Amino acid sequence: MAELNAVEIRQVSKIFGFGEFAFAAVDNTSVSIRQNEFFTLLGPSGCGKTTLLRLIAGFEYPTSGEILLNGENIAAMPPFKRPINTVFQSYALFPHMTVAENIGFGLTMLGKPKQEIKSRVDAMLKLVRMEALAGRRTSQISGGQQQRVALARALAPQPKVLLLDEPLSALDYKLRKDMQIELKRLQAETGITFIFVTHDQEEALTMSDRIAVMSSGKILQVGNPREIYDAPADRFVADFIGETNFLKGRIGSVVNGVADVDTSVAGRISATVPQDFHAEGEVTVVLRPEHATLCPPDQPAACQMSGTLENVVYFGTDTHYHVRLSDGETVFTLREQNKPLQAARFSAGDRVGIALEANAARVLRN
Amino acid sequence: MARAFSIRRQRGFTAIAVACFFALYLPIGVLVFYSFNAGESLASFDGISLRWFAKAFQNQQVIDASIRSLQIASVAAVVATIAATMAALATTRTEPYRGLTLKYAFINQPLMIPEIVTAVALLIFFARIKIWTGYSGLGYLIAAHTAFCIPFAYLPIRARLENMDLTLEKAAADLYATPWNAFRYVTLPLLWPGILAGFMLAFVISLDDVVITEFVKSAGQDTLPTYMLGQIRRSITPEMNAISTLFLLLSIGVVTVFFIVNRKRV
Amino acid sequence: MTDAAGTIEAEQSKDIRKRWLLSLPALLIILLAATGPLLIVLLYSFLAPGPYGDVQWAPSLEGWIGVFLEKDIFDETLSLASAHISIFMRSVGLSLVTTILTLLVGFPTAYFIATRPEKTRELWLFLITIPFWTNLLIRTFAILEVIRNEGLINGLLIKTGLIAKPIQMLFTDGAILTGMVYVYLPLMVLPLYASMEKLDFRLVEAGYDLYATPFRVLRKIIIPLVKPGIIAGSILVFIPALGAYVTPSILGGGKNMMLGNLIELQFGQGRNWPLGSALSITLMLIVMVALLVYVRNAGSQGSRHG
Ligand SMILES: Nc1ncnc2c1ncn2[C@@H]1O[C@H](COP(=O)(O)OP(=O)(O)OP(=O)(O)O)[C@@H](O)[C@H]1O
Ligand SMILES: [Mg+2]
Repeated sequence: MAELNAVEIRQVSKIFGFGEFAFAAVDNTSVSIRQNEFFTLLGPSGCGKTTLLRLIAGFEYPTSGEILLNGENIAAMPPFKRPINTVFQSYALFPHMTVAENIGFGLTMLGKPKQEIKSRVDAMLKLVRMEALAGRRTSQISGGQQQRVALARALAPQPKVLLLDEPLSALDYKLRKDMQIELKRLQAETGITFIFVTHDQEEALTMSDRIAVMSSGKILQVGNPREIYDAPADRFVADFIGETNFLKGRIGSVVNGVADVDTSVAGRISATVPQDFHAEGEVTVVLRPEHATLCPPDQPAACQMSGTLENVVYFGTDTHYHVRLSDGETVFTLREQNKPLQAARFSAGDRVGIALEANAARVLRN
Repeated sequence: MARAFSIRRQRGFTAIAVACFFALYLPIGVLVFYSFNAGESLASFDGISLRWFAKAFQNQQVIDASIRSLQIASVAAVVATIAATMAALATTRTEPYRGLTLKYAFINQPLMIPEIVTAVALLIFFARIKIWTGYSGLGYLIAAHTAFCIPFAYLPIRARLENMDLTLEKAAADLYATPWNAFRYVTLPLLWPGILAGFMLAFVISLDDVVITEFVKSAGQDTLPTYMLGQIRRSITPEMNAISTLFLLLSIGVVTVFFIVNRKRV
Repeated sequence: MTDAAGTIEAEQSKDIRKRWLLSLPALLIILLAATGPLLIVLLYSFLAPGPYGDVQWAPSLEGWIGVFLEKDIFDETLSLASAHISIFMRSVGLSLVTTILTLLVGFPTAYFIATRPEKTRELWLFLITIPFWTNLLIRTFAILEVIRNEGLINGLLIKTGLIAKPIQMLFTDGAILTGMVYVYLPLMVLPLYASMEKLDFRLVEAGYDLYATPFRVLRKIIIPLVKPGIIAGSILVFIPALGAYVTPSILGGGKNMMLGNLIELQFGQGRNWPLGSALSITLMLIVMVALLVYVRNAGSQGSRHG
């Protein structure tokens, strides 16, 4: 027998408001989250991530559909009966309790014996490295420490699933990086299924086993970080994850999954075609900026495209170039890694050529 | 040298404010000062003495009225605070529902009607009931005081509830607290300062009431304020000042506690 | 499949039922000992007066007629009750002036408190709160001490030889006004302070940055922003002032009556409960009209600024 999914969302909708004001925050969505995985919900603000999480936690009831936890439908179960815990975006630590009391709260509510609660709280404090501050009020600790306490509090009752709603968004850049590593470590150590919400694509790519990209209440694509980045299912995903260039063209012959696409600005280029996808006529081709390089315009053999360099933006690790292509409309972005002590080869106003790496272009499913 | 420009400064405001504080405290100061007058009348100050305080403490009417005032205020404030807490829980942190506005209007109604009108209404109403039931105890005063204390107790409790983070109770539910446990261990402890503030407000409002008490009381049910009103209308001796000073002390005590409670924000 | 939609609806109506149950004690107490009796007052105003107070159970408009008209004792002709009219006018006038004066003094005071540094602000606030919590009767008594013929002012003036005979200040409209401004001032300052405390002084900075003078900053930025406080304070002063009973009865004496005293009279020596009831209802109506006019005016002005 195949292992049960940790959480299964089946055709769930959540509609707020009535009549003409009705609005589907989650729109007939289905997704399965496997046991022990680090699953991320990624999407722009207002796309329904929090709502989906609250449905799983039990703070909202779905308008229709089923939510299964280890195969059992929990859609109508109140939150305090679900073996699921949440790390809230604002942490929601109880201000009238100490760090240790906060962490022990769930176990106390479950009626666990005092001794067990104490040892479990101690273990949790150790896990998040907060032993020294156990007796402090939660209003007297820093943001990063509050974050750890919130995490420990949610982990203490050993839930089947841990929900995290943008838990790192209130932290500064450096602390966020540290906490990302910490979270991964905790997930590996505890073996609990994590459902993590973020709108930071970099965070999603670095941390997740699998990512679900959401937009307007729907899940557009589910896959591991590589699939999401390299093979975006549609224009929205391609645009939302990383920077992307879109070129229009007519598709020609397809051989071994590689199509010959005739673009007006770049001439003919070969582009990978998604599996079981049969397109004819107009298609869109996507190209990541790091898969192209600038070349001198007088070597037409090496360059597929040419245009005028509009501006050069220095980013430390790399430099971004914006090139207006010869059709005068499309602006193509490309990115080159910086080398030590080497000035930019081109400057704004230069005529330049663009060379594409092999297999860089990909035909987009419409 | 020109004074540095301050964006907060408005010409003359400080002078008015200082004058205002002075004017607020001068009469009270005079009143307290004369309570230590050794002489018989208020016309002249004949040296310091505590004789009027001693006199007040020996005045059986004053003692009875004080005890009655405290009894009524304690019962009315406790009942009003409990009712107001429940009402505040029922009217905050919710989507508007049918009847919510009506509830607000009802709860705040005693604030929106001049006290004299309520007093008259209660006089008429209780006069009837007294005839029907034959009962003429303190119950009427307590009921009346409870009613007009509710909106005052409601005010700080509601304010506190509305400023309270809703996710805290969500978090409690997430951590296996049943609705009752979430209330018991999270909402109530956080609400406590508001409840205490509401109680003290209600207590002082009841203690201070003159008009409604004057109309509702039966013979021999003077509270300290109605006793004082009667005395002031007749003849004034420094004994009144002494009683006022003591009353004032009580008020200052309660305000101080109120301030401390409200400052200690968890 | 679960009937999730049904679950939500059931949850919601359960929640609302729970909320009604919770608010029931407060509503019942107020209904029994505040709102309900008001309806009886309305009823009584349409009954005939009893010989020794109370009412006779017979419908009559005498009470309402008595509000505005009076019967000549000899020939029973009706004429305008000039005494009542002048009491109405005095009540409304004194209350309005009280509201304006408390606003004029209270606004700078509240502003002063709100602009103190964090540390001393508590102290000033404490100082304004003490009178607020102090018995109104005691505060009226304190004013009485200062202005009566044997009081502080007259005492000092006579002692210094400036006057020989005390100046009659007590039992005048001026005395009532002084007393009302004094006792109701904290009711004005506290709501004003509450809204000034929330005032964002970056907006004031922005005003100065755009060449406004201090007065225009006050006029165009501060006052519109603290308008809710001004409205709340004015209502909080005007309503009790209009129905004032203690202050005018102590400082105004028997002759300078306000509505509150006139009403009391009907239930005391006057023994005319229907008239007293009709007067009470009239007072309530005046308050409601004043509230409506005030809130509407303030509202429309606010929206012009908004
Ligand atoms: N209680 C509610 N009533 C009505 N609409 C709501 C409610 N809660 C959420 N919504 C709407 O549902 C949509 C999705 O909200 P949600 O909070 O799930 O977004 P999100 O993806 O978490 O966004 P963010 O990244 O900004 O947190 C939004 O348009 C929001 O306005
Ligand atoms: Mg969200």
